[in-house]
Amino acid sequence: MMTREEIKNAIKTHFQNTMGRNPKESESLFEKGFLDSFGVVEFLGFLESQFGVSIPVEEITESNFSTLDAVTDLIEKQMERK
Amino acid sequence: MRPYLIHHLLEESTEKNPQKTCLVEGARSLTYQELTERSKRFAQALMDLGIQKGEHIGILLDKSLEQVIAMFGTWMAGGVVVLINPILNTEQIAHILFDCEIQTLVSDAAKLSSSPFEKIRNAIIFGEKGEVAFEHAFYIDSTVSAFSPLQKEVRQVSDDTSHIIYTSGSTGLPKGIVVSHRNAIDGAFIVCDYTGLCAEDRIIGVLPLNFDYGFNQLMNTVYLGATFFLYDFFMPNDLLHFLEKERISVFAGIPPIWSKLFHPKLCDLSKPRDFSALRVLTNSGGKVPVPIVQGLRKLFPHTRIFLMYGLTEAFRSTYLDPSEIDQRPDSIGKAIPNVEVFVINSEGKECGPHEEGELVHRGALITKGYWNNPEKTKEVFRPNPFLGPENQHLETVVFSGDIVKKDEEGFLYYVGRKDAMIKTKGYRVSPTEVEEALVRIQGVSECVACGYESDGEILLRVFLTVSDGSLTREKIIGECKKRLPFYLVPDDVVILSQFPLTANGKIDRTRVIEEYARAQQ
Repeated sequence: MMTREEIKNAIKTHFQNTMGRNPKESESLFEKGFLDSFGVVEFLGFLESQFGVSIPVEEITESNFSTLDAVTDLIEKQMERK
Repeated sequence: MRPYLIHHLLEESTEKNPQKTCLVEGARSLTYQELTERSKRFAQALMDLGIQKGEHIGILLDKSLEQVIAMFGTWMAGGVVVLINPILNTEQIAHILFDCEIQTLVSDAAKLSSSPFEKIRNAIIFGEKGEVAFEHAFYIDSTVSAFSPLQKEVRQVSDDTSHIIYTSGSTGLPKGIVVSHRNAIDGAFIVCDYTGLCAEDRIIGVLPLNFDYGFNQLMNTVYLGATFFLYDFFMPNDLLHFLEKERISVFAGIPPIWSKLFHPKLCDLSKPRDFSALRVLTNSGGKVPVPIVQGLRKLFPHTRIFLMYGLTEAFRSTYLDPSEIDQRPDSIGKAIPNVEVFVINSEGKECGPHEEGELVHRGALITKGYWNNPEKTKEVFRPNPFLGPENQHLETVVFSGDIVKKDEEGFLYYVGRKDAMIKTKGYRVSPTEVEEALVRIQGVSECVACGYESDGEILLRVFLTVSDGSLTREKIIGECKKRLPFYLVPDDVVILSQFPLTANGKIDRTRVIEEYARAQQ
């Protein structure tokens, strides 16, 4: 089982690799341009393959993707479900 | 005599119902009276900066109450609105500021750290002082309470320029399209008429206001005295929730939004929702694939769905009556009121049924032309060819550059861009035709088709995004061979994780095609 920090770091690395920068803890991923409605599909693919989870479609909401913390919560929840 | 200027629309609705909510942005809102009052204060601020009548005012703000206040304030002060979408990159913003000769800018401190503002003399900044220093600058809050409302009326006529729209620039740098007050007001009259909008409507503004289609939603709102909800679209689940919760009655969208709604990984359509308030849904800015039209019909069974066609140079040309949508889901319909549409072949004659030709628009909504670009203006805004050689100068029509055809009953069908037709394997193929065929394959979400040269021959390439990860190049070509004539079967299939988008949220076709071609070299 990955720790919360490990999950967070993996996501940060992903942003670093794809965008050349990564978000601070509570920064809005949408407002700061890390995510838009059109980049979500790709990001979802990354999360599912990286963490071996399947994120149910009803969880794809703005609040679950608003910040790094929120995404980490979402992944933790899915990992526990497995 | 009124309304003949855009702000008259607002002032008249304010007189009728001052306490009605005009704008909603998240938890904030403005009544008609508040918007009028703040716009007048903003106009006074511009006057105090010494702006001239007809001066171009750059507005670099997010879709917000402040943005709308700045727009109406500019019109009241006799200025010309130039909306600059903050998601543009520095080079594009610099181009607009330079090309449009903008010396006065409205923005907020957060946006002024990264952009090029050497030429800007005057600024009105919402919020705190930022890093950039201007010769003259006012720092205001959204109430604009530091200024008293403008009392005098600036003399203007309806042919004065109200705004300049910088197109999202899928080809080269963006061009400025010059629009008059008359164009904007006629656009509102016509659209409200054929879509049957009313004062009770609750209109959602998903599109940016620098997009003519998004701008028109605001015009319709203030003309009718309706309520406009400024909304930033991120996730389709939230959008559906918002439509339901706010009992939205009018929704204008574009194909990339619809394709997100029907993306099985992104949007939960199984949850029962109540969309009974949604009376009108419109599409423009690209053709909707037939499976998605059918999906929209199922998702919003009580909603009248309008499929429309337009180009910024003449705003809107056609719509399909909602009663026809199940019989002709692939049609863009017929001309809107106060507009005529011709289909003209290469000899300049009107096409017969099913003959492909260029769509030519005549009527109310023809804009004034391109800013600073007489050559390009002459190419698109031409004398009416049907008036005879001596009298052609009496009327300007717009040659759209779009190839369409008409059926026997006069319904129009979009074929493709004139300059994008692909001559392959002895056939003339429209990218749209290929794209529509491809998105009918289960698991294919979006598609862009183009021609490419290989050993002196033109072949067909498609770029795809897929919702089914197991789809491979081979499977897709195999599917195409089963269902399509040989000349429509792509020779090359490129699967992308996402398409680049223009600032208005449309797929940036040119970028997809050119970036790939460059990477291949």
